[in-house]
Amino acid sequence: MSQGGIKRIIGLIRLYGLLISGAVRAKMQYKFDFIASILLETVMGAYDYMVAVAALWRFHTIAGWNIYEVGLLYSVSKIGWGLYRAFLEEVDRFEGYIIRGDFDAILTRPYPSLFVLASRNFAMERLSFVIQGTAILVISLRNLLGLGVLDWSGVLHLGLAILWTTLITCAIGIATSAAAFIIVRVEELQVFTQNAPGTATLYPLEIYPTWLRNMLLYFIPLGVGNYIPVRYLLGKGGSWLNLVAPAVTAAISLAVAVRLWHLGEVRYHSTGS
Amino acid sequence: MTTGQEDLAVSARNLCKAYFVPVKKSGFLGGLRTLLSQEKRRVDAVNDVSFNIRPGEFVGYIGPNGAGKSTTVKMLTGILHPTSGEVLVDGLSPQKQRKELARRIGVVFGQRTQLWWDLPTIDSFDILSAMYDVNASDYRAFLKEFDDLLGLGEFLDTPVRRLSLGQRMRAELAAALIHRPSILFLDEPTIGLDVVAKQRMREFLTTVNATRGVTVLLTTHDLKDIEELCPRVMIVNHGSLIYDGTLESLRNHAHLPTILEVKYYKLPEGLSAGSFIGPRGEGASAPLNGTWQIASVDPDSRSVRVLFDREHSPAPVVISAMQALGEIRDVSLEEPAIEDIIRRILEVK
Repeated sequence: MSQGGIKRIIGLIRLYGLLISGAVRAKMQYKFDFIASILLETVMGAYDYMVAVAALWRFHTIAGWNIYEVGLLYSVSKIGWGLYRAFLEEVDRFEGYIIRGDFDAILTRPYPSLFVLASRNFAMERLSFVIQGTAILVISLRNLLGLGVLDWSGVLHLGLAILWTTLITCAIGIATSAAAFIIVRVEELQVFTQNAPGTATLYPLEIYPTWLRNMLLYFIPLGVGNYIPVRYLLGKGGSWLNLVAPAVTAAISLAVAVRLWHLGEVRYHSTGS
Repeated sequence: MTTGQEDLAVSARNLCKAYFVPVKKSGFLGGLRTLLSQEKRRVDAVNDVSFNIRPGEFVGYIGPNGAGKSTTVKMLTGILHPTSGEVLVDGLSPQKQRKELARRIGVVFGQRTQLWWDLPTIDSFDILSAMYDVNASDYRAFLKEFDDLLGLGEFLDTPVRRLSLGQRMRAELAAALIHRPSILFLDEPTIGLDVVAKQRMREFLTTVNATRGVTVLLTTHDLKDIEELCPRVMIVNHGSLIYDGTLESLRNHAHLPTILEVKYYKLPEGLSAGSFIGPRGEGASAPLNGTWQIASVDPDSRSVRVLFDREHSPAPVVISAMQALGEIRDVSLEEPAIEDIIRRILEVK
C-alpha cells in the first residue's frame, strides 16, 4: 500500500475515534437510560442461554454435541452478533434514517455513507452480548481444553472464527438494511435474515432439514462463521478448508453487501421537506 | 458537456427527477391490491430544469410547497440522483464525485440540524474541522472570525439542544462554512426565526457573499429574504422553471400596478373608486390608453389611491395629473408586494 493510502487510513481511524468519543459523551448525558438498557440486554440475553441449557440438560447432547461443544457455537455467534450491534448499531437501525429523511445529511459528508453512519454511534450496551458470549466461551474452553478435545492452536482458530463471524454478521446487517432504500421498512426482513438465522446457528446445523441447513450455509451464511470451523476443530468432520471457508465467505459477503448498499444509495428517494 | 461549463458554479441541463408511486386501489382489499399491482404513476418532481449560476452569484430559488425546490437542491448536492439530465457543481458531478464535491460545498437544511445535539456547540465545530481536515491555525481563525460575525462565542459551551433557534441557525451556518466552501446551498435557513434573527442572518449572508465570494443558492418562503439578498430569482412550479431573471424585471414581468396615494388639503369633487383619470386630471368612465384607475377615495383622510403601471407611466406624470385636481398635501408610493408578484406569475403559468 502506498504511503498516502496508509495516511488516509490512519486519518479515517482518528476521525472515527473522535466521532465515537463524541457519540459516547452524548449518550452519557442520559446515564440512567444507558445503564437500564445494559441491564435489560444482559438479562434478556441470559434468558436466551437458559433455554439452550435447559434443552441440553434434558437431552445431554444435541446431534452428538455436548453442552460445552454447543457452548462454542453459542459464544462465537453471540460475540459476533454483539460486535456487529456495537459497531454498526446505526446500520441496524437504518430504516429510521430513511423514514425521517436523515440520510440526506449523511450524504453531504466527504466520506462513504456507511462510514459516516457507523461513526454516529458505538452501542456499548450491545457489548452485553459479548460479555455473555465470552463467559460461555471460558466455561466451554475450560472443559474442552481439560479433556484435550481442543488445544491452544484451536483456541487461536476460534478467535479467528469470531472475527469472520462478526464480519459475516455485519455483511448480512448491511445487506438487509440496504433493502430499506427500496422498501423503507425492514424490521420484518431483519427477523428473517438476522434474528431467526442467528438463533438457529446457536445449535449444530445437523438438527435441521437440508433446505434450512443449505440456507444457513449458502444464502445467509451465518453457519459458515461458527458451525463450519467449530465442527472441524472438535474433530466432527471436515478438513482444514473448514478454517478457510469462513474467511472467504466473510470477504465475499461483505463485498456483496457493500455493492447492494451502493445500488440502494443511488435509488435513495429522500423525503419532502 | 461543452467547454466553459466547468467555470460555472452550477450548471444544470434538462434536469429531471421522476418518482414512480403505486396507484392506490380502493375498495375490497385495496391495500393488498395496491401492494401487488404493477400499476405505477409517474410523478415529475423536477421536469426539464436548466440553469447556470456563475461564481459569486446570490440566487433565490422560490416556489410553492412541493414545487421541486428541495428536490433540485438535493440533486445539486449529490443526495439524489437525477432521472435524466446533467448537472455540474464547481465542475464536478454531484453523483459521481459526491465525496470530492462535499469538500467544496456547504449545505444548510433549515429544518434539520447537522450539529451534535447533546454536545456543547464547540464540539460540533471540533469534529467538523477534523472531518474536513481544517488545520489548527485555520480553525482558530475561523472561530475568531465567526465570533465577530455571528457572536458564536456567547454559546460555544452550551449544548446544541439548549440553543435558541436563532443561535442554532447561526451555528449551523458557521458549521456549513468551516471548510471554506465555494458554494453554499441554503434550504429555508430563516424558517421560524424572529425578525431580529432573520435580519442578522441576512446581513451575515450578504457579508459572506461579498467578502468571501461564496456563491449562494437560497430556497425560502420568506420573500423578504429574496428582496434583500437575491439580485437573481428563479421560480419553480410543478417541477418546471417558470422564471429566471432579476428581481427588477420580475416586477415588470408581472404587470402588477404600483399604488400612488395622494392626500389633498381639500378632497376634489366627483372622484369615485373604479373610475378612471387621464393625464390632465380629466375623468373617464372606461379604461383608455393613458388613463389610470382610482382604487379608493377616503373622505376622512381626504386621500385618493390611484393604480398605475410603472412600465408605461412614470410616477411624476401620474402625480401631475393628480395635482391638476387640487392642491396636494402629501404623496406616497406603494410598490406591488413581492408576494403578489409571485402569486401573479404562478397564476399566469
